[in-house]
Amino acid sequence: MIARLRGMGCAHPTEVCIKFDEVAQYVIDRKLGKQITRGEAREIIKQSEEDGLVHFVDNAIGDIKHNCNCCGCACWNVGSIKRRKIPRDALMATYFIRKTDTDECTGCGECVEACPVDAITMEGDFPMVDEDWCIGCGVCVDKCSSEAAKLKLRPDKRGQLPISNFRELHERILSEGGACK
Amino acid sequence: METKDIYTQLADHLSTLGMGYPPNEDLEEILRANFSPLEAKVALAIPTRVIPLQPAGIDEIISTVNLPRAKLEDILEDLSQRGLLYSGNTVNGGKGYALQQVGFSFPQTFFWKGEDAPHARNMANLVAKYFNRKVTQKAYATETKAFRYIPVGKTIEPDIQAVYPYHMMEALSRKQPYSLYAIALVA
Repeated sequence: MIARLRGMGCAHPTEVCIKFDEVAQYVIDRKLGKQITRGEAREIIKQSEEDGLVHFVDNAIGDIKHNCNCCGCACWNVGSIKRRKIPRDALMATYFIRKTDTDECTGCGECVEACPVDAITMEGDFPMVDEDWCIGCGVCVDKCSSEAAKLKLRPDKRGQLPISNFRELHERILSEGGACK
Repeated sequence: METKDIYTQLADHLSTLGMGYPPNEDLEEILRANFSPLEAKVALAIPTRVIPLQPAGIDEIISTVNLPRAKLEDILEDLSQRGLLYSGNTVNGGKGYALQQVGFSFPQTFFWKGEDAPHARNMANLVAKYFNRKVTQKAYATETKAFRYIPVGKTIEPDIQAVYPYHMMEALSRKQPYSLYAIALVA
């Protein structure tokens, strides 16, 4: 919306910010958004995937409160990475990285077009992933018709998992001093 | 002794949240455009060393602000109606209020409705000016990250799906037992 209000919007859908439980209640009560059904939420997520949007959620396993679905054109976080303004790991947790099975890859370049952060380029016959900028979103995997694109857990993140729930996540952030320490 | 401007005080206060606001003059401009001095004083009475979405009750807030209870309740409710405070139930079940934390609702609440109105346009410009590269990086500089990217659909290998189902957006949307869903526009 910020980009659109400033005359710099894109064609991607913007009604894609889903809230759950008490946050949903707040958004509905304050008329900041509207109530949807579980089925409608799943449909929005499915449509977001078809539109090549990146999902993100709270960095917790359970009790997640938010899911947003963003493009690289207008989103403050995916866009900042796409434009190489802010290092990938500075903003959000990234657990996966894209790999290519060269035996299966046809070199069609579909994944290059699909990548929301422009982290894939064609090098000869095969796509090359810039592993410093890949956010492991899987958008390229979803678009790969030969099933050559795969997501793997980041080797440097092996053993690191999201925090068990929302409360523990934010108690940890507080105990570490928060963002502006 | 010179007293700090109320908006400088509020900016400093908001910087101490877990997902805090990096304080600077651009933030103060946003605060000035949204809070009256009295509203800023009320916001200063709301605790910061709490997790997001954890409201403080009226009794806790009134203990640090010199206002009649009814007046305080009116101001808190009005701020919440305008999306400037989160409101919900306290741990004891009563009504409570919390400061908006970065990434959850600040600056998002200005834009969730999708209104193309003068205030929203003003906020779009002020927020874009405030959240420059340096401020954005600082606002998300927590050691443990508050958010994570989660792969679309079934894009991870079956063996990983089996061990880590919470890494799949599809599983999350299918299995988490939420009681209520809402949709808003992205900031």
